[in-house]
Amino acid sequence: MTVLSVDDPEERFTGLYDRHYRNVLGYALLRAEPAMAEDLTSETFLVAWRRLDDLPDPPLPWLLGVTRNLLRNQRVRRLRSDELVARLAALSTFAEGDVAERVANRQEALAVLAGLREQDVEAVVLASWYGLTPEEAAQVAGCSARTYNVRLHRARRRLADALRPAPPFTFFQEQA
Amino acid sequence: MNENDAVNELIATLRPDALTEDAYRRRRSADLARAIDSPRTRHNPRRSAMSQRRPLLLIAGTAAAGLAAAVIVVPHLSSGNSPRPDSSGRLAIGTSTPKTTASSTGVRTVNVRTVLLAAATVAAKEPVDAGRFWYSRVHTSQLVRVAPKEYMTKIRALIAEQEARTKELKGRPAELKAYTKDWNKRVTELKMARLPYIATRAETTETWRSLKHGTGREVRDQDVRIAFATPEDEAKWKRAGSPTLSGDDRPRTKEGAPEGIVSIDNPSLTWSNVSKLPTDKEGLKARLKSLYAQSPDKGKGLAAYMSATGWDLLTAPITPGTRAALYQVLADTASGLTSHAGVADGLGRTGVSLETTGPDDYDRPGRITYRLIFDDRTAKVLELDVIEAGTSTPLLRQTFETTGYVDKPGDLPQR
Repeated sequence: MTVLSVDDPEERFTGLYDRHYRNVLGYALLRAEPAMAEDLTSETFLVAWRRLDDLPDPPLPWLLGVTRNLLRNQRVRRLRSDELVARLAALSTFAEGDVAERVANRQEALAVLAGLREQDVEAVVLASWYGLTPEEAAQVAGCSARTYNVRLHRARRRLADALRPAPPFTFFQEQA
Repeated sequence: MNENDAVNELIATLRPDALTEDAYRRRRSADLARAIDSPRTRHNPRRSAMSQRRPLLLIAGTAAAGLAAAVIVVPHLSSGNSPRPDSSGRLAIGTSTPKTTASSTGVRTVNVRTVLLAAATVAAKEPVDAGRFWYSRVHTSQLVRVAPKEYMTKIRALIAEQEARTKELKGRPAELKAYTKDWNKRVTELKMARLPYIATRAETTETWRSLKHGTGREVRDQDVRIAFATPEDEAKWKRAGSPTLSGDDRPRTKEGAPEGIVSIDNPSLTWSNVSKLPTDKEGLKARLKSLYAQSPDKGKGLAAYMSATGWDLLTAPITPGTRAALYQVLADTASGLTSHAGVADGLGRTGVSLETTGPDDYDRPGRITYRLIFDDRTAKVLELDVIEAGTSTPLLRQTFETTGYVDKPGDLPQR
């Protein structure tokens, strides 16, 4: 980095984009069709460029909040949780090396997610995908940190129940 | 692992990474260009001053004088070499996809200056690397300009005629001069003649070039392929008697310094010393101006020289700092360039193009487009194309599959 000064706004912006584009798009994909999600992500970074000197640190919660506002302005309908889960199932791909057990767990988790409220799904996604603190996630979700924690806890509880290994089949037979 | 971790990990597997990665690659150039091009609302006088600054000269059409020399190469009459129409030392072989591959979807016009500045930023972040040898694997596809055997038969006949006639005209200088002039004209016509069909010859060349001594290895003419632009072209070729078009079509390995010079306009630049070029914009600009002053061909002007030399250097083993500075110099001096994002090269890789036009062999302006495609994630060159107006088959396509430093001939770069 001998050529460019660290203060170069174009360089800062490029770095911001390279670090966070995928995160922002991933979030937009929870709400919008891929083409619109990409456009909204572009818009988000355009806003970020204009406000480059005002960005908080870390910038990701702020970026996701901008995306959320844009989604609202676009009147993108919030999905029912089963729609959201169907979309997640369609969008995600298995990493290589996934084992059968994890695939089975994933199907169970999707089934559980489909039964959750949409805000609860968002809560657990924000924590898992982006590692946001409750305060940061609450800022994105547009609620209080307390409300967010309630949603997150509720979602995790239901998912953890679903993931707990079921007792062996023979056990049930004997009980019956 | 506690239950929260297990849940987090599971939810993480639902993250649409493949989709977001794909979108990131497709959208990055245009998104960055669009944003950086737009004004920032507050306190940024520097930015608006920059966008209003008129580009310095810079000569569009001439940018690729070096390339043009490569492309318009025809067999040298006097040399005893095989009559390969593409025997320029700068070239190597290629893929079997002779058509322009810029896909109609996803290609967008972007601001040249913005693209060049973004490229400079990216280039500066690339790791500094070094090695004893510079390796390259390059696919070259060229328009077949002559059927080698037919061409050689005709050219030998012309030479024989000239020798005989020159003896006859001994002692009659005026007639000899007139004859020689006419003979040269006929040779030129033969060289410039187009075949009645459009075909390309593609080959792959690997080179290992010592950066210290005049040693190395070159393996040319790998995967030689002839491709016709259309089935009609192939039918015409068959009607013409299916002449052999491929020339040498077996790989040839040559030990010793590979052919090829860094930059036609700059004899003082070598594969070894380009890594020592300045890494700051002003320093590099000053050096290029001084090189221009020594250049054997100043006729085309400083601006054309700058971009032609820039093109040459971008494919040479320069440091990330020099590469970044070079993009900045080009951003300052480029006029007449256009740029597109999402352009595919001959290997299907997408990048950002820089295009300029120049005259053809008959000095008709704007007839030839010189296009450089670079990877906007690394700022390294993917491909150089020379395209004639009104045709879809490039005259020359040079695709850089791999370049990098290695320790010895035979080794391949690690990254």
